Amino acid sequence: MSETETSEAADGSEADRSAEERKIRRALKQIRREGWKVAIIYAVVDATFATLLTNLVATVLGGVPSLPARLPIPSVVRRVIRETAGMTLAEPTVSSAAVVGVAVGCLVFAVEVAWRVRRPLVEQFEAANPALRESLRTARDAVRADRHSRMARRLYESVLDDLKRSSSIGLLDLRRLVVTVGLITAVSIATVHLAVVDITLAGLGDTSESGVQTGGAESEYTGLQDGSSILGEPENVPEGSENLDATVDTSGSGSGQGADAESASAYEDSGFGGSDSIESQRAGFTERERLEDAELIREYNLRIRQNEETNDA
Amino acid sequence: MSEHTDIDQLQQRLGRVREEVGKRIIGQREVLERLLVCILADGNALLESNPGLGKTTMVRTVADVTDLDFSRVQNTPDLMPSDITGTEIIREAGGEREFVFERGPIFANVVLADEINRATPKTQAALLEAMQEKQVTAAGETYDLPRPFFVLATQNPIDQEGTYPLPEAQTDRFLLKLVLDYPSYEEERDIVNLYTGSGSGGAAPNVEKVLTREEIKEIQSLVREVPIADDVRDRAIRLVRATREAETVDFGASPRASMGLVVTAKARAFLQGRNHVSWEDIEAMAPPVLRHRILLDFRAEREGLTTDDVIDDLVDEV
Repeated sequence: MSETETSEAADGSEADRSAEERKIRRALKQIRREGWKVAIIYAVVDATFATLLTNLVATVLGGVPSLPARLPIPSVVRRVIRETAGMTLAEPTVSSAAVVGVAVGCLVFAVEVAWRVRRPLVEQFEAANPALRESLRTARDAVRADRHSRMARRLYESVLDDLKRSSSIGLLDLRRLVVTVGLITAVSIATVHLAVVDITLAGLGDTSESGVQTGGAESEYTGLQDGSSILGEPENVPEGSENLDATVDTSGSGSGQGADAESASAYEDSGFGGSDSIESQRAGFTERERLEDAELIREYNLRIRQNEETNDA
Repeated sequence: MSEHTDIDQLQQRLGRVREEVGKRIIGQREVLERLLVCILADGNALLESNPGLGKTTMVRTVADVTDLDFSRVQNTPDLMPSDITGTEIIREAGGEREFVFERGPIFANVVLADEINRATPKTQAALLEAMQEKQVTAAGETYDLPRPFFVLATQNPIDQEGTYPLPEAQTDRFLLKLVLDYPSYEEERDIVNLYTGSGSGGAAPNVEKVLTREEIKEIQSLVREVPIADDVRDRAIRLVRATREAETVDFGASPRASMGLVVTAKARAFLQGRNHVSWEDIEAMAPPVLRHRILLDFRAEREGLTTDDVIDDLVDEV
C-alpha cells in the first residue's frame, strides 16, 4: 500500500471514529431532549391541575382574601392583545381567583421542571431502560474520555443499535398522567358547574357583605351581574283587596304599515284608565328599512315629476 | 473483514475453548472460566486444591486447545532455582567447549508449578520473579519468556508440615487465587464414567486446537481496551480500599488488587461476549482477586468467618 493510500485509510478510519462519536453524542443529546420533554409534560399537566384547583377553591370561598374580587387588566396587556390579536376586551378586569390560579400554576410548573431535571436526564433514561443502563453509561463515559479503541467503537455501535430499539416512553408514568388528566377534567366540570349555579361559601350568615348593593356606591362594572344583587332579596307581595273590571280589546297589527300608522300614537296615548275600559293595542313601530325605501320612492317621484314638467315646458 | 467481525470470531472461539475443555473436565465451570480470565488478563493464578481434583488435566487441556507449550514443575525442598529457570552448561561442539544456556521448564507458555509451598523460599522467589518480570537472568544474560506466559501454581491446603508457605508479598503477585472444590456426586459419576469407560480406554478424550497463541495475544490486547464506566471503576476501587478499613480485616489489599480487579473484570466481560464491564463482573472477580491479598482479624477468625465471607459483605456494602 502506498503512502498516499495509507494516509487515506487513516483519514477514513479517523472519519469513522468521529462519525461514531458524533452519533453517540447526538444520541445522548436526543436522550436529554426527551428527558426535558417528559419533565415539561409532567409540569404542564400538574400546573394545569393546580391552576384549575386553586381557581375553584378561591371561587368557592368567595374570592381571595386581601384581594378584590376582580383585578384590572393592565393597559399594556390590553394594548398587546389589541395589537396582536386585533381584539378589544369588553371587560378590562379579570377574576382574582383566576389570577391566583395562574400564579400557582406557573409556580408549580417551574418547581416541577426544576425538580425533574435535577437528576441527570441520561440517568433517568437508563433507569427507564435497565437493559441499556450499563452499556449506555459506559459509552457515555468513553465518549467523554475521548476513547477510540476497537472495543470502544464496538460498544458505540452496540449502544446505537440498542437505542434504536429502546423508547423514552418508559420515562412517562402513564397511569399517573391519566389520573391527573382525569382530575383536571373533574375540576374543569366543577368549575363550569360553579359558574352556572354560582355557589359561594363567602360571607355565610353575614348579610352586610353578601354583595347586595344598597344604593350609594355603584360599581363601575357594566357587564352581566348577579340578578339577586340588583333586584334585592325576594319577598312576599301582599294580596290586594280592591276588585277592578278590565276589558281588553285586541286590535292593531303592529306591522308599521300605513293603515296602522296611528297605532303608535294610540299606544302612547293609551294606558291604564282606572275604571275605564282598557284598550289593548300592539306596540307600533316603523321598520327602518321601509322608511328608507319610502324616502327613496319619494325622491324618485319628485325627479319623475320634475322631468315631466320639464318635458311639458 | 471488519474489525468487529474479528472480535466476534475471537469471542466465539473462546466459547469453543470452553466446549473443548469441557470434553475432558466435568464440572468446575467456574474455575475454568476464571482460569481463562487469568490467561486473557495476562496474569498468573494460584490454585488451592486437594490432590486428585484434576488441576493438572485442566491446565494441560487448556494448553492443548490453545496451541500453547506446557511444562510442569514439581516443587520439592531440594529444588534449586536453576532447575526452574535453566542453567549454563558446557557443551562441546567441533572440539571446542562453550557455555550454553539450557532453558528450564519455565520457558513455556503454560507452566504448572505443583505444590509451590514445598519449594524453598529461594526457589519460590526465583519462580515468582520470573513470573513477574516475564524474563529470566542467568550468567549476566537476560532471556525473555515466551508470550503468552501463564503460571498456575498449586498448593495443598492440608498437610502443611515441611512446607514454606508463600509470604503475603509473594501471593500478591498472583492475579487470582482459585479454589477447587470437590465435584458433586453426579459430576464425579460422569468423571468416573468418562475415564474408566470401555470407549476411552482410560485415556483423556481428544480435543481440538481452536485458538492460536497469536490470537491469545490479540485477545489480551483487546481485553485492555474493554471500556469500563467511571462509576463501576470507582466502585471497584472503593471495594479494594474497603478491605483496608474493614474491622474484620487485619491487612488489606494493595493497589495492585485494584488493577487486578478491573482487568479481570474486563477479561470476564470479553469472555462473556460483552463490550463493556458491568458490576456483575466486579462482583464475580472480587473473591478470587482479593482472597489471597487480605488477612483476617483474629476476631473474625474466632467467629469462623472466611475471607470469602468478608469479601461478600464488603461487596454488599460498597
